[in-house]
Amino acid sequence: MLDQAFEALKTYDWGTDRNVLNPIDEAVIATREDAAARRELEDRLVAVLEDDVSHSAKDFVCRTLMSMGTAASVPALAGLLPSAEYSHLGRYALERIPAEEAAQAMRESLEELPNPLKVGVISSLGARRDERSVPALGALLGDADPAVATAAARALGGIRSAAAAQALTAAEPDAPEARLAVTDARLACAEALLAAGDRTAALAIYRGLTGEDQPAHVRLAATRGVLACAGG
Amino acid sequence: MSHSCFEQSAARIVPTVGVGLFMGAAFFFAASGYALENGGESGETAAAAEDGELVSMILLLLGDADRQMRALAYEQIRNQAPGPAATRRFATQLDKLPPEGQVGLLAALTDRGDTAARPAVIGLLEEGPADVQVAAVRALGPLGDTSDVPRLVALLSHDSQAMRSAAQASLVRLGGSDVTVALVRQTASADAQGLATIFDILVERRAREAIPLLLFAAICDDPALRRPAMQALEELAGPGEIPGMVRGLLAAEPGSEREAAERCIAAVCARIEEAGAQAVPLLAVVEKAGAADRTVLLSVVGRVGGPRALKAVEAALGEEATHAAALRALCNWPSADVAPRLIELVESDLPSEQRIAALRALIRVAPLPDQRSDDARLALLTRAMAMAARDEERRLALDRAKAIRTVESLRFALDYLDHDQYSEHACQTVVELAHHRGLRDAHEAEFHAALNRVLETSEDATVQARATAYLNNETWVRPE
Repeated sequence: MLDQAFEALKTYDWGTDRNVLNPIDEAVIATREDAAARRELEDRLVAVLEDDVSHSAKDFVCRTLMSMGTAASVPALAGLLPSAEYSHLGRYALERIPAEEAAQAMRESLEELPNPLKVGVISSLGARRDERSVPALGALLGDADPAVATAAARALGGIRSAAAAQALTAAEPDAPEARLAVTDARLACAEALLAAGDRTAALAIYRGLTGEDQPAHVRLAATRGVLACAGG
Repeated sequence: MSHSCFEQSAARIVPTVGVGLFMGAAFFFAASGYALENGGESGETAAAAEDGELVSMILLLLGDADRQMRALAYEQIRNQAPGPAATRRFATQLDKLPPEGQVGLLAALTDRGDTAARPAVIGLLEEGPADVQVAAVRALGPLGDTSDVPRLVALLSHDSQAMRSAAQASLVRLGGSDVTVALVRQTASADAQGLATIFDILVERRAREAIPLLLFAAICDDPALRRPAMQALEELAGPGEIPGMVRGLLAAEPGSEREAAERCIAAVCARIEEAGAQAVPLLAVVEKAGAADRTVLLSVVGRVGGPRALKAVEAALGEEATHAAALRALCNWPSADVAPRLIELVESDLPSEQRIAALRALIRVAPLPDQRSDDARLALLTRAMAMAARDEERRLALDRAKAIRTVESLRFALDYLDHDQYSEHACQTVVELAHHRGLRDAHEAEFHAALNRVLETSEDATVQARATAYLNNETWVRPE
């Protein structure tokens, strides 16, 4: 059954009966406690990525690897990142694979990728809350492309750590949308730091946003934060 | 407190909470001339340092030029920095803020509910703009105590409706076990209107301890007092107070006052949960009453209903002296249980006005909702219609058919659509039934045909508008 499913995957495309792939779904569940079988299944899926199969077939493989992939899948998935057609499929899987190699592959891809694809990978690093990506993301806050700078700010706001807050504090992007994203991310970091009990760090961020130079809604949010730090 | 004091206080906090916020607030206060009490009060140093800092910040926000910032301060006052020390610091700002700020702070302190704010609130009751005074009066509800009852009662006769409403609301909310006693004391000097309002307040407070006063008022000479007293008793009294309420009923003037008193007693009896026992306490009073009073009380016995009441009324029906009163009691019956007896009376050789009264009662009870099926209810109404000899009762039966929401009721009404003397009433019933979309949609073709006939028949503009709306599957909004 599983062999037939992999055979079907080679010609699988939009409009094909999805049930032909069910044995693969069932194998993912069945191999949960069997590392060797799981590894064999992962290898077979990765091999499909390197074949000349349809977009729908690669979509299925990436979604499956998203739930069961390991470091073994990373090279093949990372290979998709520069492709305009498959970059997002690859990063969605890498975003959810717990192995550090997945984050590292995405970080390393940042220098190579064109900006539109880079924005996606930046978002995935933020969604992954990847602390080790903070320096790389911090550097991108000053990117000339507002989309990249904005994505970096949002990713740091997703990471919500003291280091992320530090990187954001130093940032002064030119583009208004990037500046707003930085402010939003700083508030997100402060909220997380306060929730984690780091009142001093949270207060420092909030203080910096209560000035008259800030928009009214930012002042309001920051003042609320200051009050929360004071016990309110 | 001088500006310099404010600045010193603010300066102590600035390094901790940020320059921008405090500079903004300081600028506002310097520009507006409103001073801030921002220093710690002696003897209050026990307050936690964190709370002290928070309170200081909230005090500054109270004076912020930005309305949203002030709203943030109010939100904090409502929910944060607990304790009377913080409350007093907030409250001391009341006489330093502009009127809008005073109203906002009063509302926040009201919601905070800490009575430590009361002295500052009292200070605003009789001076300043009207809206501030009203807010202060409203704040006294949760923040005041028994000693505030006289001043709030005095405000019940204030010229301003807003002030009267605020005083009434506060008297309802005022806490303390002896508030009812204080309210009752105030009745000694209140006029009839004031007393009626106090009775309303006692009802809203569910002040059962005021029942003796209300029972006393229910038998006084002044009808303007008896009626609200009985209405208050309707809400507060239990079966044990039925004898006292009966005295109130006997004191009521025949006519609308007595009928209202009967309904009050019937409502109290209806709250008795034991099946069939609703009339028991009332019948116990009736049995001990003199002949004249028993005749008067038969009417309320009828309003209460039930098997034991029916037995008493049947007995009275057989006696010449009480026959007419007993018949009225049957006509007041709250349920269709009495229908067979009413049919007997309609078909008897009683004087026509008594048979008509029985028939009208039958038409009234026939559609009342109970364990009977819709078909059974309509069958009884149809029978009553057949017994009617006058147009008035036939029209009444057509009107009552509205209460049975079935397609059979529609067909019942349609039979009278072509008779000039009943057609408008039949049209009214058709549109009223059509008003219920579930019924109308379930029998769409039949209702469409009926509504088209209504359009051809009715001369009433409202009925025509309703029929048109329902034919177009639109909703007709009943006027207020």
